Amino acid sequence: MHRWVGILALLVLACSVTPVSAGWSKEVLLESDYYLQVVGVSDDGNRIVYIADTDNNDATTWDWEVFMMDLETGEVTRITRNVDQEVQAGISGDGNVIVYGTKVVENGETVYKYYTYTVSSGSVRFLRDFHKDVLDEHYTPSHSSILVNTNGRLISIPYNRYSDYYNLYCTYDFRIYRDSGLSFWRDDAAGLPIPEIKGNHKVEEDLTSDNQQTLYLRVIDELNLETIFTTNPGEKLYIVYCGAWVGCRLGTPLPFSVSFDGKRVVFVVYPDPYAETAENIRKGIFLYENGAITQISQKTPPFIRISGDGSKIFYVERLGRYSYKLFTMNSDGSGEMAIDHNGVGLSFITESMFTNYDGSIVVLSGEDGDFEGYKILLYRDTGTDTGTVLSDITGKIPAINQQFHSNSVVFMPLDQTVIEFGSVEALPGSEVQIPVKVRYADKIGAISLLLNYPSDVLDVEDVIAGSLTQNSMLEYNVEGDNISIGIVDSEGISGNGSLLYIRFRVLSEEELANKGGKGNEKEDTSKLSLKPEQIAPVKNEFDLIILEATVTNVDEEEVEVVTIDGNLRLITEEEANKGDVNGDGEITSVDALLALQMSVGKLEPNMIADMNDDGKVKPDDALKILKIANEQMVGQLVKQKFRVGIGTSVGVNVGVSQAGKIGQSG
Amino acid sequence: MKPTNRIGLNVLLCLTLFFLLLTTASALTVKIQGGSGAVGSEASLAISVKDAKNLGSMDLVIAYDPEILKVKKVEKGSLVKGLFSSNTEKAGVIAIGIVDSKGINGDGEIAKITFEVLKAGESSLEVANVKAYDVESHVDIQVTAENGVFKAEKAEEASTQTPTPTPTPEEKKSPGFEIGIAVAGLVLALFWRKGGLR
Repeated sequence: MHRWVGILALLVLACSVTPVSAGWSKEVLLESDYYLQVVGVSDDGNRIVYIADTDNNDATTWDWEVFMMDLETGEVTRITRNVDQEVQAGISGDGNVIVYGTKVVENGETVYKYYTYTVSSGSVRFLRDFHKDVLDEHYTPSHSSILVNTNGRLISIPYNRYSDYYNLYCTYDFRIYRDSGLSFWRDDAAGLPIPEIKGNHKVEEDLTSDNQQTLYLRVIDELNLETIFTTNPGEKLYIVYCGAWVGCRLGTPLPFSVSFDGKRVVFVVYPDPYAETAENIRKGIFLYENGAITQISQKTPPFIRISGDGSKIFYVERLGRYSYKLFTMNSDGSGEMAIDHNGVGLSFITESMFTNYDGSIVVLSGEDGDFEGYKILLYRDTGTDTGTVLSDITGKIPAINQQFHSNSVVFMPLDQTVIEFGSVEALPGSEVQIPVKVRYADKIGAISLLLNYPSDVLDVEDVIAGSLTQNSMLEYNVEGDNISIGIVDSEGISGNGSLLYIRFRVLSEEELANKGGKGNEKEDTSKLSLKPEQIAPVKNEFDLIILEATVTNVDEEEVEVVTIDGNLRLITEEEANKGDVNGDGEITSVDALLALQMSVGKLEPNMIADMNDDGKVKPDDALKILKIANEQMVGQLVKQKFRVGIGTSVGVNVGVSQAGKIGQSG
Repeated sequence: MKPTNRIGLNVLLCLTLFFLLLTTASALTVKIQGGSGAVGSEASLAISVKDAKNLGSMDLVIAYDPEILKVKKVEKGSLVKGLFSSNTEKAGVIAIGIVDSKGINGDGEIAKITFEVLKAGESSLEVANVKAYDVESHVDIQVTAENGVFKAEKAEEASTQTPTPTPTPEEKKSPGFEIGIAVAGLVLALFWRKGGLR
C-alpha cells in the first residue's frame, strides 16, 4: 500500500500544541476545507484512522479515502485508492488491521463492500458485501466508524435498516422504528489463522431507542462472547425502563459507550419534554456496572465516551449553539473537570469522539467554528496536573433500578436458525464427545453438513444422534479432515438442542509428537499490543469448522442458517477445570454421571474427575461434582433471572460466525 | 400363502407397528406439583418425571417466591436410586442434581420439597432451567417442563388447615409397555383360540 505523505500530511499542523487545561493539551491534527472524519483510534492511542475527501470537491464522494496517521511520527498512510466512496472504517486495538467499507454501484445496485488492510503486511482482503437484497433496500451504514477488536479479527459494522423510511423523520408523536443491527464475523477465510477469541477486546456497543420508550444495549463482548446469541429473535433485553423520553433524534443513536471488558457502560438519557411526573423527568449520565445503574450526572451531553479500562469518562456539552466544551470525570462521577474551557472550536461534531485504553487521549472531528472546513482535534493528558475539579457529585441519585442485572447485554436481531459446532477442552489420550447443536430450528426436514476437524489430533470414533434427532435418519462419512453428515426427519426438527454428537479419540502425546501435530499455533501478535499478557499466543487450539450447512424444512424450502464454529483445546491436567469431565466448559450432572461411571469401571478414569486429588475417581468425586453443578445452576439462574424479557438464555462457547453467512438470504 | 398364515402375518405386522409406536421416544416431562396451604403451615410438593427413558442425570433449577415460601428441606424422590444433591442457599432458587448410573425409566417422583408458608399470596413454582442426559450415550435429552402454582392462604381462611397438594402421578414404569403387552396378549389369545396362528 502506498505511503501517502502528500497533501494531507501537509495539513498536519506542526504540532500546534496548546495547553487547554491543567494536565491537558490540544493539537489540531488535521484540517481541511473538505470532508474529514476520524473513525477510530488504536488502544495505545498512537494511531488514528480517518476518512477524507481527496479531490477538493464537495460535490463528489467517489474520492473519499481512508487514511491512517501515526501520532508519534506524524506519518500518514493512505489505505485506499480507488474511484469509490469509502463510507466506513475502523482500526483494531493493536493498530494493525484497518477495516473499511466501500460504496459501489454495480448494475445499478448499491453494494457496500468491506475489506481489511493489514498494516504490517500491506495485504488487503475482501471480507463480504451487503447487497440490498440481502438486507433490504433501505440498508445504510449507521456510523462512519467500524469497531474492530484488539487483534482485528472481530469486526462490527453498524447499520440501519428501516422498515418504514418515513418514520425516520418522525416527530415527537412518533417513535423511531429502527431495525438496527451489528453485523460481525471473524476473519476465517481458508489459509488464514483462525482467530483467537480469548483476551482483551473491544466491545461493540450501541444504544438506541425503540418505540416502547425503552433503552436497550447491544454489546459484543469477547470476554463473554457466548452472550452474543442469548436473545430470542425479536425480543429485546431491557436493562432499564426509564420512562423518560429517549428521543426521536433523527436516527441518531443515544450517546453511550462501553469499556473494553464490557463491565462499565455509560449512557445518556434525555428528558421527556412532555413529562408530567417527577419520574418522567429523569435525565442525565448513567453508569451501568455490576448490574446497577447509577446516575452520575444531570448533564445530557450529545457525545460521551468511556476509556477502554473504564476509568475515565469524556463528554462534550454544547457551549453555545455552535460550540462545544470537552469534559472529563471519573467513572463514578467524581473529579469532573473541563478539559477545554474555551471550547473545542468545532461548530458541529460530525460523529463522535474516541478515546484510547487508558483515556490518555481524546480525538474528535467536525466542522470548524466558522463552518469553513473540517478539523480533527487531539487532546492529550500531559499528566502534569489533575486540573481543577468543577464539581464532585456526592450524594448520588440512587440507582434507577437495582434489580436489573447482567454481566453483558446483547440484542441481536437474529431470526435465523443457528447451527453450532461445540467446543471442548480435552487431555491428550482422552475421549471427547462434541455436540453439533441447533437453535431456533423450525420443522427442519433435512440437513447436510460438511464439518472439518483436525485429523492430526482427533480420530473419529462415531457419530451419534442428538436429542432432537432421536427419531431422525442420520448418516455420516469421514473423508480425511472432513465429516459429511446427512440428517433427514419427516416430522421436522424443531426447537433447541443437539443434532448429533461426534465421538473423538484425542491422540496421545506420543502420537501427537509422532504426527507433528502442534495445533494452530496462533500468530504471535503480542509484539503488536500494548497488553501482551492479554493476547498471548495460544497453542494447542484446533478449529472445528462447519464448512457447509444446507438446511431445508419439511416443505423442502431452503432455510437460512447461521453457523458457529467451535474449537478443541488440548490441555494439561494442571490446566483442566476439575469436574468438567466432558470438557464442554461447564459442570453439570452429566459430568457427575461420567465420574460415577468411571468410579465403577464403566468408563476409563479421567483425573479431571478426581476432585479430591487422591489419584482415583470414586463415587464421592461424582457427588462433589454434582454439588458443584448445583451451585453453578443457581449462579446461572441468578444471571438469567434479571435478563428480563429475553426468554431462555442460550450459551455459546466461542460463538463466531463464518464469513459471509450472516445476513444472507437463503 | 394360506389365508390363516396371511392373517397371522398381518397381525404380526400390526403388533410390530404397535410396538414401534410405543417405543417412539416421547419427550421427558418434568412436573412441579402445585398446591395450597395456610400461612404458618408446611407443605410438601412433589417433583415428578413422566416418560423417563434411560435418564442418567438431570440438573433442575426451580424458582419460587421467597416472600411467600421458605424451603425447609429437599428430599430424594422414590424413583431415584442414585446420587441426589440439592442447593437451597439462594432464597427463591432450588437447584437439584440427580445421577443414576443405571438410568431412570418410567414415571414417578424424583424429589420432594417441603416449604414453610410465610405469607398469603401466590407463588409460581417454575422450572427455571433443566438439563437431562442419557445414561449410556450421555446425549442431552429433550425435556418439557410443567410449572406449578402454590396458593398461600391466611390461616383463618384455610378451612382445612392442611396443605392440599395437587395429585402427583403415581410411580409406574413404562405404562405404555405394559398396556402393549396386555393388548398383544389379548390379540394373540384371540387368534390362538380361532386357530389363526396355527
